[in-house]
Amino acid sequence: MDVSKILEANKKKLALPSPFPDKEDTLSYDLAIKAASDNMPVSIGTNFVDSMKTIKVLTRDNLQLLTNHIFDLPKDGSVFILPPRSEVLPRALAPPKPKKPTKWEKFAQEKGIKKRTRMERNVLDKSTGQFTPRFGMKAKRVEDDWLMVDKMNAKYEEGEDPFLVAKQGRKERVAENAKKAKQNTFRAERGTPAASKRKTDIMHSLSAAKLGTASQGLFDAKIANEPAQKSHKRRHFQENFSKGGQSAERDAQAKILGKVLKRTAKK
Amino acid sequence: MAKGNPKGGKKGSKVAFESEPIEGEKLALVGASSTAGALASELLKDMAALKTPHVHKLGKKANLRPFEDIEVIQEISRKKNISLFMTAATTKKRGHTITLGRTFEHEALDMVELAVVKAPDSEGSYYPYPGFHYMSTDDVCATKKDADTAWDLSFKPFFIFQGDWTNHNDLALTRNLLIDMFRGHDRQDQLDPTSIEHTPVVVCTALDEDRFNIQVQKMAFTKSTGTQPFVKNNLAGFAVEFTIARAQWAEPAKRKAACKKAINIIDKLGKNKSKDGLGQTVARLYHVSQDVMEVNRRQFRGTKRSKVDGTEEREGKRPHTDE
Repeated sequence: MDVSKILEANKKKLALPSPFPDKEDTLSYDLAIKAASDNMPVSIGTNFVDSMKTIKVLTRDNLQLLTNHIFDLPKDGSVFILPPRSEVLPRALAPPKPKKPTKWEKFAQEKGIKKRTRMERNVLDKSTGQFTPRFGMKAKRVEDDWLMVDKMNAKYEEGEDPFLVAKQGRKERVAENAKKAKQNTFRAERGTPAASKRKTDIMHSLSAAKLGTASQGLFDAKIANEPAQKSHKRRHFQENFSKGGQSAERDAQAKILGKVLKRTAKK
Repeated sequence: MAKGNPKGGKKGSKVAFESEPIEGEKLALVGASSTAGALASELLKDMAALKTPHVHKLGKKANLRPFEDIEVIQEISRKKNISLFMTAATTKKRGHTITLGRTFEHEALDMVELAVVKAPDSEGSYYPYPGFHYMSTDDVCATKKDADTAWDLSFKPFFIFQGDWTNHNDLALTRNLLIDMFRGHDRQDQLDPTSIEHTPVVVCTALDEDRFNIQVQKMAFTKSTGTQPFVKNNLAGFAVEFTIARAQWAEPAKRKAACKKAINIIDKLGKNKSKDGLGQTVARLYHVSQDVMEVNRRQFRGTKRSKVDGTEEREGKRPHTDE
């Protein structure tokens, strides 16, 4: 039996260095930041050149240990997956305030629904047990595919135009989704300044609209919880005989005079 | 985020930077003060090279002096969302110094001034800055091949900490700051093995309770007897010995606030819900504690409590014959 080749290969192998240094592995690692810490105190003098030599030798072993730990990590294809960070490091900005989950997010979390990241090209056909393309040449197609009717709402009566039925269905669903999306934004903004701003905007538009009618909206249909309107007068005139009597009227006139004089004085 | 000033004008409005649950790369503001000498400037350049390209460089005119006037740095941080800074200065008192620091919410969190160690006269001159424990990247690379010293700017460094970095507060916080300064970001959770030989290694060796050596090395892999490669290390960048001249560390409350993690509200199952060992969701119904005796229930003869001690209450009107 010719073992010389095996012996030679082994000889070559033995000539290779060992990836395990002599020192004991007492290092602490945080592979998320690719760091290794060797707490063993180092005895290095004050001479720079000598210290550099000592550091080089010490570092080689520590780097070897770090590399060994990295090569022990789980792999995803050709890359290593790093574990989560253990070192406590401060952030640059405070973390964002957690947003209230939307109705869908809550439902998805309860049911364990995860967003589909990528569709596979081939799909398992349950009847045959084979993988066929999802679309394209050899794909398995639905029976009435030539009709191209919406999968969701393919119900139509005799004599009805299925395309019109599908189109109507789509319109309804779009409107429904838009309504739901609007409700979602309102639900999410409940309590925030955006919601109160929306309310005041609506109130301002309402009062402006009321002013457009001759009666200041006196006969308009009222919205629920609408605040009572203060005045239904379009034009306000002062009383002929003012409440406070002559003194009140005099004071009011003096005030106006004062403003006019102030303005002319400024000029 | 407010955009645009309602009053108009040049200044515009405060554009707050939106925070993310997992942060990306932290930028560093790099600039020397007007007092920085040749050594300090070159050292700053060498250290900034480890952070490139996530660096915002300013010239000497900007005169960045964190300990004297931190507001300048904070203002830049606010405008450009830069949370780390690195400055150089030269003073008679402390010599050539590099100041490293970081901010939280655009306010200074930590800063430390590291002074380059002066060589004792007995050591003789050491090129090209005789009298200082510093070898610049140019010096190191002058006698080596480009392949041995060049590193890829897109790879963030490895860290090796040697010696005792934990027992002294200043040193421990400096270590934390050094990591924060040169590391990548949390979104990178993969490591390509082919990149390791092109990645710089920042080697920090604690020599004393306030003195340490920091240098940049590179790894070279060769075949070994095992599956892991055999590592050979080489000096690939600057090497310098620092002492901690002065430091300003954050208050514990501020540090706690800065280290808070983002809460992912969707991850929480909700109140009173938990998962048992089998992965089934177990929920706890809130109920006031029930006293079996007080609760309204059908009462059977045996469960009835006696009104007066010693006597038994009996259903029905049959005379008691057991006595």
